[in-house]
Amino acid sequence: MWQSRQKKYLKGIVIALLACLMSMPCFGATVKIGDLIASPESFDGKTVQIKGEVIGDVMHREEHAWINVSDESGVIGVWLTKEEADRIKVTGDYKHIGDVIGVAGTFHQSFSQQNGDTAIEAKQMAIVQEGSAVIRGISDEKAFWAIGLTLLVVALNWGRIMVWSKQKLKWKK
Amino acid sequence: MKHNKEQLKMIAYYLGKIVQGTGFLLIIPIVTALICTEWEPLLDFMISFNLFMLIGGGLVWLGKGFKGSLKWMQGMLVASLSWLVLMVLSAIPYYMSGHYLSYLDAMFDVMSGFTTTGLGLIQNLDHASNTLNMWRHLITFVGGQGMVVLALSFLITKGEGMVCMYVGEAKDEKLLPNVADTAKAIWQISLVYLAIGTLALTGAGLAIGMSGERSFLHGLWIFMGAWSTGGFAPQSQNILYYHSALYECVTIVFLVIGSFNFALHHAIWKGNRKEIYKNIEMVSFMVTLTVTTSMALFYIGKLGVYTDATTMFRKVFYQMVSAHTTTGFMNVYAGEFLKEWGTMGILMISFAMLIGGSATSTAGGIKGIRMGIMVKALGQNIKKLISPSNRVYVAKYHFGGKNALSDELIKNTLLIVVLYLLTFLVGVTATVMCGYGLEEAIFESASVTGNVGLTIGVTSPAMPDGLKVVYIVMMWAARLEFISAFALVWKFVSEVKDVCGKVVKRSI
Repeated sequence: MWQSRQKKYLKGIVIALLACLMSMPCFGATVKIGDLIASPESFDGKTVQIKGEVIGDVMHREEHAWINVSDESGVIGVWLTKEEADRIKVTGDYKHIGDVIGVAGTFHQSFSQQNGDTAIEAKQMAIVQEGSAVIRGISDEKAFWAIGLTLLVVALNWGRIMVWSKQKLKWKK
Repeated sequence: MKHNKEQLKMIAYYLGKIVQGTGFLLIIPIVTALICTEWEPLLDFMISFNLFMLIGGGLVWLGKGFKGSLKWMQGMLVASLSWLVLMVLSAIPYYMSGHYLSYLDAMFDVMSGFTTTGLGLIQNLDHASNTLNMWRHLITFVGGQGMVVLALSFLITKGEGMVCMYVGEAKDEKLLPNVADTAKAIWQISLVYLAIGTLALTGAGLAIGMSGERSFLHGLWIFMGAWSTGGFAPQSQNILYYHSALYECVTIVFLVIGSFNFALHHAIWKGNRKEIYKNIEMVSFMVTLTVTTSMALFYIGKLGVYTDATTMFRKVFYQMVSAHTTTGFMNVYAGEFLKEWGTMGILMISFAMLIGGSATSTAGGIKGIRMGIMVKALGQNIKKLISPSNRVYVAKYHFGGKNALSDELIKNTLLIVVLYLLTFLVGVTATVMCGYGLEEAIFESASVTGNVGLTIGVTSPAMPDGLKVVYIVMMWAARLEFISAFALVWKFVSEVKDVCGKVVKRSI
């Protein structure tokens, strides 16, 4: 009884995994963005695959969009369709880690149809890891110094603050 | 001895006022942090604000009750010293943000901002807070006008030494008879353009698909970077981030206007529109920009890097204008200069960076007026040589009216030009000594000397600390146009000499 249930679960997991793999575009070895920028002539017109975090904005331009993708070696612009761009939910900034995406597309040293920028024209895009909000705690040490120094500055300037507030009252009257 | 003490008190007093004046600017990032609910940066900026107030207040207290008035030498010392003191203090929130590997890197970025250079050593800029970005761009915006100008506008309203400090910050044009009124006029012009520029760039941001909030913030910051000819941007790819010809067009308008002399702005505001065609700086700017850009286009075109003429014109023209106005906005990757522009391309852009914008503007470089005066002086001397008689030729130039070209003016102009070129050569030598190639050294050194901010890839957190210090000194000295920087160095050396002399006398 238990064994047949286990087999069922295993079957389900295998089918789900296969379905996932089939729905995802096939991504092979990725190239570092820094390498593309450093040697653009070597990759010009070739199909490349990159993986990185979407940062900043998804900038829609009619039926397409520009995004910028960053890995630890550099940042590059990616030109993709509106449908694919709409799948990106989180972009990286101070408060967020953006979606990590895999992109397969043509690398252009000078993308003449789109401003002539060094960029990738995406053929396939997949979300590798969904982005999330960054939880930042407040440092107790910093809070102590910020409050302590503010109190010190207020205490040292107490006389001036009183004169200023009296003047303000006079103006109001 | 007593005289020396009074001088120190005077310098401390004015220095304190300038520190306090710049400190009040920290209220803007503090408000930004509150609006954007960025609590950690809020604490960083609260700590920094209080330190500015304590140190500035302490200096004012030390200098209170000084006798006499500020003379030229002390004015120069206040101007040059204030830039160094503010560099150290303004780096506090930078370093506390965790975006810098060392305090030296943070100070490098502050000096780069204040001098409107725009070279950066910041790490992970794409994840920096709005608060930090506000401070980065505010530094470059205020630096364009000058911190002394800021203090003169709001805090130091009387005193004979105001002119000395104003000139010490490399501003030699008085828009109005009174220096305080001139300082206020400079701020009025900048703030009106700030409103117009932010509005225009916000509109451009919305048009290229950015959200309302980000369009506004980017519009404000990019305007500050353009107007101050600083070249800072909120994203690591600089202007390339936007992938938009529209955005580039709007920025180019403001960075060109920003590189104009404030006296020219004032003349146009007062209805004297003809000045824009006649002014020697404008003529010089148009000629040198046309020559350098045409030659760069010709030689880069021959290399066949860009697939079509429109793309080539857009990239090369934007970079050449950005270089010539000493802004440093980039719509190409740093490595592209070395890989794709060829030796002549690098040489032309380096020339443009060294020539720079207008005097009494936010721009750096040798300046258009000096180029114009040198050409006029050359023409005058050739005329004298080929003249058959003993006729006296006095060349004239148009700068707010007809001015005679005196020998004194030519001498002073040549002195500053020689100092610029010497600084450039020091930079080239230092860069080559650190193991970089000659082309890289020429490009980067021209960018640092001209307070431009374009990089060929030399400026990075990985570059040697010694080179960072050399670049900091170069940016500072070039921005102040050497005189007040030399005054400080001379004063320091003479004080050290005095102390050493006394020690030697005692030991004998």
